[in-house]
Amino acid sequence: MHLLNKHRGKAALAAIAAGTLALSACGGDDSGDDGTTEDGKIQLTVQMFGKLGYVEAGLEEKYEADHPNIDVVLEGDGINFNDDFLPAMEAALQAGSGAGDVMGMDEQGMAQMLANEDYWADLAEYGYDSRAEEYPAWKWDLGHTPGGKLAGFGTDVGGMGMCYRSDLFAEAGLPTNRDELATAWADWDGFKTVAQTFVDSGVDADFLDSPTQLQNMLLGQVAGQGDGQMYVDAEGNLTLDSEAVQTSVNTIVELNEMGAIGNFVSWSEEWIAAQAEGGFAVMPCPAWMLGVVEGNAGPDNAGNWDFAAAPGVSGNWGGSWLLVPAQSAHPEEAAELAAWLTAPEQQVAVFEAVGPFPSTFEGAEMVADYTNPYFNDAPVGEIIAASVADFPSLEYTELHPAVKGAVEGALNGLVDGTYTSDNIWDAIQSDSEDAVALGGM
Amino acid sequence: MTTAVDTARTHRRRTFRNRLHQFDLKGVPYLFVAPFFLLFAVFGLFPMGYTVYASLHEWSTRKPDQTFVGLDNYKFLLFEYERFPWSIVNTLGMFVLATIPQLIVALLVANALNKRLRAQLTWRMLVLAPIVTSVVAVGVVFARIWGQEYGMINGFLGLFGVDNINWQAERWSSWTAIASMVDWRWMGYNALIFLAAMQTIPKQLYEAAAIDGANSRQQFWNITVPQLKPVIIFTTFISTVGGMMLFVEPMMFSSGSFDGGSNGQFQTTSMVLIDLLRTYGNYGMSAAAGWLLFIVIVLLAGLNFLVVNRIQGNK
Repeated sequence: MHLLNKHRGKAALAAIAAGTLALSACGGDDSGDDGTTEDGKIQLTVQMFGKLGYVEAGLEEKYEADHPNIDVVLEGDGINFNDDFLPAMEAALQAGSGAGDVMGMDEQGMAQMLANEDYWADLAEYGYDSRAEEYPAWKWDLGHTPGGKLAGFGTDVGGMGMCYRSDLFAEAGLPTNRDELATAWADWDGFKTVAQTFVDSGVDADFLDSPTQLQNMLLGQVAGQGDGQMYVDAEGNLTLDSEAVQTSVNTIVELNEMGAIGNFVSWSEEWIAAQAEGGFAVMPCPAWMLGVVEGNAGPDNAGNWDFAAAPGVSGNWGGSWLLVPAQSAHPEEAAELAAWLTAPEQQVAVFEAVGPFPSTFEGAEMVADYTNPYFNDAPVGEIIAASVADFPSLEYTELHPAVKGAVEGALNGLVDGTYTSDNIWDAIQSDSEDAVALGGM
Repeated sequence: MTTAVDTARTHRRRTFRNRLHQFDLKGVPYLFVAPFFLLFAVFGLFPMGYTVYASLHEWSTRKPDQTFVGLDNYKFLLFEYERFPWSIVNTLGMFVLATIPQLIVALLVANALNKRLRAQLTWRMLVLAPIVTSVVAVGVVFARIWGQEYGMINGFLGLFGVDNINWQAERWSSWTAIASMVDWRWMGYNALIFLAAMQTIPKQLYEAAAIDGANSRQQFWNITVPQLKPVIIFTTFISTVGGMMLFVEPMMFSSGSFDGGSNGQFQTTSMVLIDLLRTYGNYGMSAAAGWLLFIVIVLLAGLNFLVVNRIQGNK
């Protein structure tokens, strides 16, 4: 009997895991907190994830010095966005407490989180719609709920360029100068030509790291220049025949048949090792990725990595917002804090501290001269700023992340041999249908 | 009269004392175990019941409303969502690949450790070392060892002219890699349990067998193994439950994603369960997956019990 009990207890864990959310939703009452400290200051909690840089840039102390009646609390610095932050914030918003006064939100979670209007305060009520002119239109627009509430302000943008190994390019007989390369792959046909040259040279490395990052970049470009349609529309209907999906996936299929795509799944151990070992020659890089590459490749590779403008119009990856949940006890003060944290000066302070690129015009201008010594003194500020300036407005629908995951899984399967060029579209279709069925409702 | 009243009073007092005594004997133990069961009711039973309720609803963590859908969630998982049935196959496959060699090796290692050895304690401690290493660290190291381009295993196979294998691309290969991780971590634990049990086997049995001319192999199979029967059942149970709930090792093998390979080659049922909740916010479906997993574990544990009991019973 003892054994059986123990066993049942353990088996119940699986169910408990699923039940935690429900429990926290039931137990999470508002503990009578009116959002003030004992000495009567207004307490504002900022819920953060990853490296937003506010801790490193010392912004809490700065804000409190200027606002003696405010106590800023920064929470969650460094936690994982997908695995920890997003589910916790979803639960907190649902429960009606615990979501903080200002909440950081990554681009990939924005549509999902803003879908529920009631969760968010309308910052336009406090006169912040005047900030529209500080931002590129798309960055500003994405901070709104479908119903038109201004829910938050943009922090950084993941403007993009291409990281490339100049030593491998030299070995393959390709130009190593970043301006020459930018010209050579000014459009996507040029990019394919460069890829073909690299493959034909027989250098013992893959041209591209993996299928997914490049596909994502191309998807955004084509959608932005055309009708804006990507995987799935706002009603949850799949739009896999959209120009953006067709072009981006077919380009990957073509590059894969060429033998230009490596099997280094982003963030895998192999991907990390390959950056030091020279396993692949090119990788799409948002601004904040440069620090990642430098860390992975190490000082031994200083000068081997370089950074050039990306093919096509421009690209974008990531970028975050600061939102003000409606459950905040002091929405007006919270809005003021969020506006201050996303003002150009603070965006530059964050850029200098940890690397995310300023999303405001003024902030981007202030860092335009920045060069990165690890990447052969590449003018990173200039390249990223140019890619952001042209970036078209994209609307990410609520089901976009789910379908994106399914498509990217299938593309990884194409490269690892699970699928072939012939059945990749079937795989994409059926996996996307599953994703819509599961995430849709 | 008085005597009658007195007797009644003493009688009553005696019954009260009796009852107190009885309660002390029979009731108090229940009070002592109550905290566990109360906590279990709150954090174990209640969520389980609540999960049943959730599994019968279309319930998204991203939307306010829930609609009753009966068994639709179960139907979708079993008949439409290919990854789910495959995840059960994957879990069972990895369980078999990991557990059988693990328990056999653990038994042999325990037997070796039970012999007179120099620095006996050191050996016993070393066998346990993998358990105290963090599973995440083990995952990261093993993901490197089984890597396609820079992995140690492929490097070794390369010496014999074998092309680099992408261990994550096929079911058999990814299962092997993950089984190696599980075995590395849990072999020592099981060996230690076996070792502890071996030390309780009376020496006289071996001495008598030795006098009768039984060699050490015969002693092992005819004395050690039958004597270990309850412990073997216990470890099989624990390994079954652990194996069916396998999660961190395959997750770390795919760099922390819940997908388990490009087509779910090594996606376990626990991973599907979490994926449904985290990636899709689908609480109802995730709850249904949890219950299906629970049923599979119960069936398997029952089967296990029968099989192990039968095999050992014949000895």
